[in-house]
Amino acid sequence: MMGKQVEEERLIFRWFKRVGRKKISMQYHIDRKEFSTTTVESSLEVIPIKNPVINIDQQSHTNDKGNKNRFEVSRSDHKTDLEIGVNDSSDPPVLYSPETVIDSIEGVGNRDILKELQPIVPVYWNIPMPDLLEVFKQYPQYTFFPVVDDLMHPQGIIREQKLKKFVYSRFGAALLENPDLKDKLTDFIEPCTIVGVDDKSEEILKTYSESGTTEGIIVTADSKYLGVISLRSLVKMGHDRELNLQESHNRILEQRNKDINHILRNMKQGIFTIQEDGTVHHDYSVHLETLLETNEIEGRHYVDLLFQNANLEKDKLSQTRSVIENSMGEDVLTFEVNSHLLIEEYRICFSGERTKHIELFWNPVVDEDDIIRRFIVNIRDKTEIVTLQNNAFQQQKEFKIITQVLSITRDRFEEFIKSSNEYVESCIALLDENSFFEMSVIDHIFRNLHTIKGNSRLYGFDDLTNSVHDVEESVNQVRSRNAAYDSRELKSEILKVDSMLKEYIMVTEKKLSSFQGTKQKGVFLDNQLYSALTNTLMSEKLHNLPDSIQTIIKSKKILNALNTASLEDLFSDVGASLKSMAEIVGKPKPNLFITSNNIRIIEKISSILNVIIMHSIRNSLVHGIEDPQMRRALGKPAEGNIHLFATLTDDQFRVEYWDDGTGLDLKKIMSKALDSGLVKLNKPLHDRQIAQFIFCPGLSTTNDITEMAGRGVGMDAILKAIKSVEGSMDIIFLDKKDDSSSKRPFKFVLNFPGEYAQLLS
Amino acid sequence: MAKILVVDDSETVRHRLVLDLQAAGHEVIEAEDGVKGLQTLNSNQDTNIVISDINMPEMDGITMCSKINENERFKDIHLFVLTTEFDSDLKTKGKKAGVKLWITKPVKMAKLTAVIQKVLER
Repeated sequence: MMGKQVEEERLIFRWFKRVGRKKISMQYHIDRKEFSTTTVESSLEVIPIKNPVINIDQQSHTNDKGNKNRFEVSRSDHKTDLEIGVNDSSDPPVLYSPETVIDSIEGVGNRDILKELQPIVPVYWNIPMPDLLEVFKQYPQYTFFPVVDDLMHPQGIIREQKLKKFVYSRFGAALLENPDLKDKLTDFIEPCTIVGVDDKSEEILKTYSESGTTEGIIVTADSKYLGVISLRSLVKMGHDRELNLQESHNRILEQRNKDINHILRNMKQGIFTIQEDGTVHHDYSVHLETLLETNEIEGRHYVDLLFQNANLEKDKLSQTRSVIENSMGEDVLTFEVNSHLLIEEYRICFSGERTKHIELFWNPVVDEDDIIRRFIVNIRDKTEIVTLQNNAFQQQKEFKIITQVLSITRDRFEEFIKSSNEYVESCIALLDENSFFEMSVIDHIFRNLHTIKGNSRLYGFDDLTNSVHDVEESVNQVRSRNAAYDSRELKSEILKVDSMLKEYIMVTEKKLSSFQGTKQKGVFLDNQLYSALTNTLMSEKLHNLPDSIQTIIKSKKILNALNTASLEDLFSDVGASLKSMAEIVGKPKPNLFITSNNIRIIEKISSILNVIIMHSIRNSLVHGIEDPQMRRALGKPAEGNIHLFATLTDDQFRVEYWDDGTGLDLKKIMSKALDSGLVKLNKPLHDRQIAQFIFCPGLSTTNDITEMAGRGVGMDAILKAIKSVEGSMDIIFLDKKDDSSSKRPFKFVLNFPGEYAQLLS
Repeated sequence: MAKILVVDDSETVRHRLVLDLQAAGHEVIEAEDGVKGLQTLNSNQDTNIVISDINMPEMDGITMCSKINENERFKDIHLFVLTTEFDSDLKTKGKKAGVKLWITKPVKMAKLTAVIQKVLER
């Protein structure tokens, strides 16, 4: 019997051969590429092959023909040569040497194959038929033998079955003995699947399953016959393989599960699965418990879990439910066509007014038919992000305010805040006193707001300006409705302005606590005064007393002017906003011509003058100065020209203002006055009288409400301010006509008591 | 490019769908209830898709879909319904009637056209 044995991890082949009367077991260790032999006592059968090509005789070293035919018995630690001999030249040479065969195996071959390999000694293709029968007789357990050629290349197998006609025939044996027998061995050889010892098991199994013969397969090494693997072994190989695969798959799966569980336990997101019945599966990420602040999760309905403490519009929840529950168990397209309706962000209210911003992601899981089997929901806590965003937004706002505040002096800012607060307070007081409808109250409030807005705009406080504008809008709506108003509603609108002012103050105090602007301790000696003083003193020659006295008088006068401003100073604020004002109305920046004649203006009226000049410039830009095309057509330069001219006599300080625009549109003013009921058409009026209408409140000759002029309040406020310091304001026409049907250029003449100004001689 | 039948008793909804679907390049026909829907379908047997509301007079959308589904000639037509809530009974009935897609109102046209495209490609 031939067989194999696995010895520890070394794979060996074993052939059993009868040598004389002894049964020798020959082992070949593949790893060590060594032969060893042992004597076997058991009654194992051996091949008494009378095959002339194999003649093993222990004693003989060389046979008659002088060919090597040697077999030595040795211990396993010696190398053994085994050369099986070459016979008569009439017979084909046998080159079967297991050594050479196995030497040619590279590596150790496929372990699975080697484990199952049966190194059945093959028969040669030219074995005589009687000998073949003898072989079969000797080894009844084998129903086939592999056949090889001289070079040990497998030719196929020969099956016992095929020999039945000889076996069962009375003359069969005799027939076989006949050397002239037509039937040669080759006629009985059948093909057999041949594989290499290095082939992969799955390929071998595949090849066999496609075309294998039932007996098994032949294994070769380097195209030389090595052994056979029986069907049973193949099945075992297949089974083992499957077990191995399963095992490695299981290991992979186990590892994957471990990884997933690790993720579920540690990730900072909430993940859970909605099953077909709407309840939550027991596998979910641990963080979900932290997010939703509950550990009652498994088995709950997803709507209950997610939205129990949420403040949601009922509609949104119903839509989300519709999407999820309608598409569960349906084609994924149902989900896709509706997914925009899903809630993606919402707030949960916990006890104590604490809220969390939650972000939701819905992921359908489909089977191979694209039907949704469940949903994996991913939730994130966005509260921190939202808070950060709000903070960033708040910081940006404060930054804007700071930039705006820093663009003016501290003085001006405080003055602005003070006057704006006063305006706001007066509005509130008015509303408190008059809860019933009173047009004059509304007007007054409107005027106050408009003034605040104007100043705010002047200083570039954009946010405040916009805020006041909105409030103005709502008040204006009330005004045009001409019906009863809700004083509380108006009050709350005005308080918005108040809170905005407070914000500016707060930012200034918090962030700009050391903000002094350009005001330092002590007095401010501006350039004009400084150069006047130095020139006066430096030109003093000190050799003539009357001259020296004059110097002293002059110097005193200069020092007296320390708390005054020049006309140019008043314009310094204007300069920056001039450009942006012009841009708003789409006209080029106008040129300013100031003639101050060395006049210094007392502080008391300098702020009034400032406001007047600002307002006048605004009006010039909106109404007076034409757009550049029209100006060019009229032969004027594209930019408008604005003039300020100051003079001082003993009893009067006068400032004149004019622009080179179209002038007053007397026709329009007249019709507006008629519309507003300010005058009745009984007798024709002089242009001078018509011009006076511009000082009436509520008269605006433009219809659209812009941020600039056009509200019909400015001029009357200005007149009021001038009168409050005992001044007056006139309109003087610059041309000669007196026909009220066209526009007439004009100038404003402002007169103040002489004590409000002084000359710097 | 498909031939689509829109069935809805609300004229506004129907017209809007018709116009939007036409703008997307499809041929559209319409009907105002289940009965008329079946009639229109009979005279337009090359219709590919039916988009129908559920609550309609004469015959509701699910019944209409059920009848279409039973008819051998119309077995390749894709049935979509417009719905406003989730109702598991409705879903079961709809499934039996062969409804393929459930569209929750309000419809987002961009998504509907994309889904129609996918259905046609399958």
